[in-house]
Amino acid sequence: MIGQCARAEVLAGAIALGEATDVERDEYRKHLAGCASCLGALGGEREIERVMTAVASARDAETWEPDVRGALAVRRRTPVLNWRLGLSGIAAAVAVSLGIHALVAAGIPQGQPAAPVPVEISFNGMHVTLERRPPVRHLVVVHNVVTLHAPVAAAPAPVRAAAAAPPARAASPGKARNAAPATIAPSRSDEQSIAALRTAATVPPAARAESLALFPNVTTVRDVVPIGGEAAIVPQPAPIAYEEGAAGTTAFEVSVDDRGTPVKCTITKPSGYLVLDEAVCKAAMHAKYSPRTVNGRPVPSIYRDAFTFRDGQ
Amino acid sequence: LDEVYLRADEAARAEVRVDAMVREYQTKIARYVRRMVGDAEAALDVTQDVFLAAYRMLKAEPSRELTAGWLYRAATNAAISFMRRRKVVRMLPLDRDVDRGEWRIDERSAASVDLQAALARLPADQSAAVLLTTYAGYSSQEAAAMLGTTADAVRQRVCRAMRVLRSVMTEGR
Repeated sequence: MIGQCARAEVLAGAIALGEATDVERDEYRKHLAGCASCLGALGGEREIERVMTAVASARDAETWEPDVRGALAVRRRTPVLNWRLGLSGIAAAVAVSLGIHALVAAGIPQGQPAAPVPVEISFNGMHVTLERRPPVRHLVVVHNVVTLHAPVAAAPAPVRAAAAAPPARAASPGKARNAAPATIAPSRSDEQSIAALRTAATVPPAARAESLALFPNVTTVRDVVPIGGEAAIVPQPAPIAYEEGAAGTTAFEVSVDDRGTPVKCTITKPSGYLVLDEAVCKAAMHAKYSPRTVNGRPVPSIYRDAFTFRDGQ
Repeated sequence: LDEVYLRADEAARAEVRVDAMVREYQTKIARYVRRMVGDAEAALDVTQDVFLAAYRMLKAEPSRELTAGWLYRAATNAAISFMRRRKVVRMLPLDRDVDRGEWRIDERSAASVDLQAALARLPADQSAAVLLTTYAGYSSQEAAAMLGTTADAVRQRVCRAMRVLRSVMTEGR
């Protein structure tokens, strides 16, 4: 009986959809004649048709006619909103943005024309590949090392390196910071003042290392450096930094353990823009370091450095 | 190079095809989804998701055919997954009958049935079956292909949905 009732449901559905053949209607009628529960639950053909007419009139009474084309166009233009969309648009946008960052990180001077970036765009069903030049707006990042070519800043560093006794060098950044006003005119720009923040003996001259080796009692110290040099730290501020025209100098220190892994980054002098500080620390934490060694034995240490950002406009 | 042009041409034509589908089916799909989820705002979102998926699909495979069946299948799945998500986030006031007030007006004026009240009581597979057939106008065979089941199963679901509709109609009297 249960099987027949299930079959009756299928038949009732067919009748509801207007798909039942005469044979099927007949079969349904016969089943209902002998099955009171189905008659009560499903109703006769007229009853089924009455319900379906009600549904049809509810459908016909519907007046809602939304137009999603506008919203669709917006969402297609800004696919970031939909995490599942791997549209090439995102890739293109990211590529352009990375390109700008790369140019900035490479210290492209202000005003030099950036290379055109091919961008694939599509609109109204057409696919066009255009060469779009990235906006000229860019942020100039000045690394403290880069600015050392300035004669005022370059002079004191070698002097300190030669004069300081090796154990004292660990403290040299602090000393250097204190010494800065004496060696650099206050009118000098940020990037020169941060030169003073630089660890004096980051890379000891080869000749000096050799001479130290002649004295076994002397402790040889090689200070912590980023692998790949200071250029290995490439801050990439978020796009909002460009929009805001963020500028300033961020001084930071990174705790590096004895294996050269950055453990913690601290901003010692904020630039005033969180976005710049965060970019610097993020880059610093991404870099790999060669740990400080004392007599060849790696020890945890702190790497200090600074970046100056200038609005390239 | 020819191949590149051909492919670009194909992609452009595919996009035109989706545009045409959007024009023709947006209202149908949106109404269908609104009946499924019981919320106009959510229905618009889901409808957009469906068409975005269509654009994406044809972008990846321009030669693929885009049918109304595909749209309805995508809409059904999107609506069901929307309802599942909503079930998880119960704190949001998004119960299925939240939008009923406004709908009752047109449905009462049609002197028929509070369809949404009935649909809110149905499991998603029965709602989909009844909406794809009576609402969207597909045969049980076509609806079965969209829902990945058999025509008989669709008919049975329609029948079960109808029983609920009937009880709602009787309550209303």
